[in-house]
Amino acid sequence: MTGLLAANLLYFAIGAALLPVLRIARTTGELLERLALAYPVGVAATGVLAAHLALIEVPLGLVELVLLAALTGFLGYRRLGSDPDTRGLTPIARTEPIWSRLIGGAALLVALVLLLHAWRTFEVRPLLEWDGWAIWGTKARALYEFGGATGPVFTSEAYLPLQHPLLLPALEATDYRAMGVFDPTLVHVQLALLAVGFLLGFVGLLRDRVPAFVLGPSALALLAAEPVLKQLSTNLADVPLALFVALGLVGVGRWLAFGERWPLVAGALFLGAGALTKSEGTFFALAALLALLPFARARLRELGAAALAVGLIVLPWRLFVALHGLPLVEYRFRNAVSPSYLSDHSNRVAPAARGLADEIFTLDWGLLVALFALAVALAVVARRYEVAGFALLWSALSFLGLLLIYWISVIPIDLALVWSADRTVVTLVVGAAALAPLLAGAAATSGAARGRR
Amino acid sequence: MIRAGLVACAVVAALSAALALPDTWSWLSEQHREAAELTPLDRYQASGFNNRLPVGGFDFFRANVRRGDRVFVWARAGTTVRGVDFPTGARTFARYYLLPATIVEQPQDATVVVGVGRDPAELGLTYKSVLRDDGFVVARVRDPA
Repeated sequence: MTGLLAANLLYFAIGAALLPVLRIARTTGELLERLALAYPVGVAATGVLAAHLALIEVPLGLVELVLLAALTGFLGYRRLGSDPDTRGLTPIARTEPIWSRLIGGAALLVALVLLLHAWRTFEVRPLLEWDGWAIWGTKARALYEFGGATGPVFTSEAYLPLQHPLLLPALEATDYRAMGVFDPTLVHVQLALLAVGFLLGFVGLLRDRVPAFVLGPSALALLAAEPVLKQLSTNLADVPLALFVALGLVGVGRWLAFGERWPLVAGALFLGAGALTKSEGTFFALAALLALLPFARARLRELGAAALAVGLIVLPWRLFVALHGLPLVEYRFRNAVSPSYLSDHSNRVAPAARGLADEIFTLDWGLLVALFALAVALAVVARRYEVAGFALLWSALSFLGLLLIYWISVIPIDLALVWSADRTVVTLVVGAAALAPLLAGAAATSGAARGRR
Repeated sequence: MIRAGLVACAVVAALSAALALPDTWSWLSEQHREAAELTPLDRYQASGFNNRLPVGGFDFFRANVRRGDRVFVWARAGTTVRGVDFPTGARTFARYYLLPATIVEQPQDATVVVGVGRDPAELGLTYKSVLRDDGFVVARVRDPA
């Protein structure tokens, strides 16, 4: 356990150093104000690096993490201005009434207690679910044993499916090296820490833009939803994907709503990490960038830079897939643009839409879907059309994208839905719900502005 | 209006948490209760037992294959709990459980053939050594390079 915790402290240190390097924080004041982002930024960035290094057989362990922390720390220190100014704090953060802070603080405290409870369980719960060991556990163990991804486990058809990118297994392999042993149970603490990272990142991205009495309960509602921690415990990559994509959406959404550049940088990093966590992460990230396009036409250069950053994060893995000719056995993308194929398989659309809708509109999620709908309506009433439009368009594109994947899948539709629909909707539901407090915050800012007028 | 909307968002979020939290908490507690009593060995083997795979046989295989071995899994017919056929289930478990040895698809590529309810002699290969244990067989073709 000590090694695992040491690795995670180093992820935090690397993230704290990256905040000034990436210009997420420019001054000491901003660094302190946004320090909650340090851990999720560190996990995302180290995970991306570990996944890339695995492609060239360079393993990351504690020594490498210490060196990385020292290097990024040096760069971060040089980049950081000495201005202790906290001008970044917005009127909401400064004028937040005490009752609002109390409600928000209490909800966040309950969320933290829930995550500690999850930690206690994850620490002893073995690797049980099929895909958890058959796909993700095998990849993580192989990266630990071999130090990289060029062997048969990652390239031979005896180890299908091969198309999944490597961020999560690379992170777990780094943890195994830090622990000095392959312990497929204890490593699940890393999954609980990813959820802690999500909470920190979520609060760090929104706390000065969203009233605390909305932000705290929203964060708690997201983490309390049964599928989140239940699926996270299985060691499948769907929830880690959802958490990264949700943070990415909140980041790019804040950029759209409030015009600051730093959340776009954080958002692009998280979307990139999502794209490197699971194949469909690229598609969710692309949906986010496309959904921004109609509403950010005056800021296309910034958006283009973010898209380029996401593309560069995914590029090494896509090159690896192309160079090794790794097959995608469940569907062929070219069928998605083949009218004859789509027509021949159109009988899959209705059951797929029903199956996905059943998984989205279940009370297992609590009232997250209602929360999203209410927040969109509030943003529209407050005339924050750009952020409401972005949220709706991303949700629609994501749903249609999932539908298309089930449409072109070669697996019988009933079986495909039973096997995966409850998992594939996680990013859609969590991502949309994560946008709810941002939408509310945008509406509140608009309301405050009108009130002042 | 906006203020009322914000309050409504907070209320819906709080209700959502209140609806979901008890079940999530109970599930975590139940999982902890069940798992806390397991020994480290139980936890290591749980992925196989949970899918009704013959873990004891795979422990026998694990003790007799080594890093660099290329393993062909020769398994009896049948099904696993997940609905996949038993040979596929056994091969999939071997991929995970026998690391750092790796799995091959063709027997002629193997340094070791492991038999689960089937005799590797059926494959017509020449073996350097053959170990048997209650229906499980480790037949070595050659040492790993």
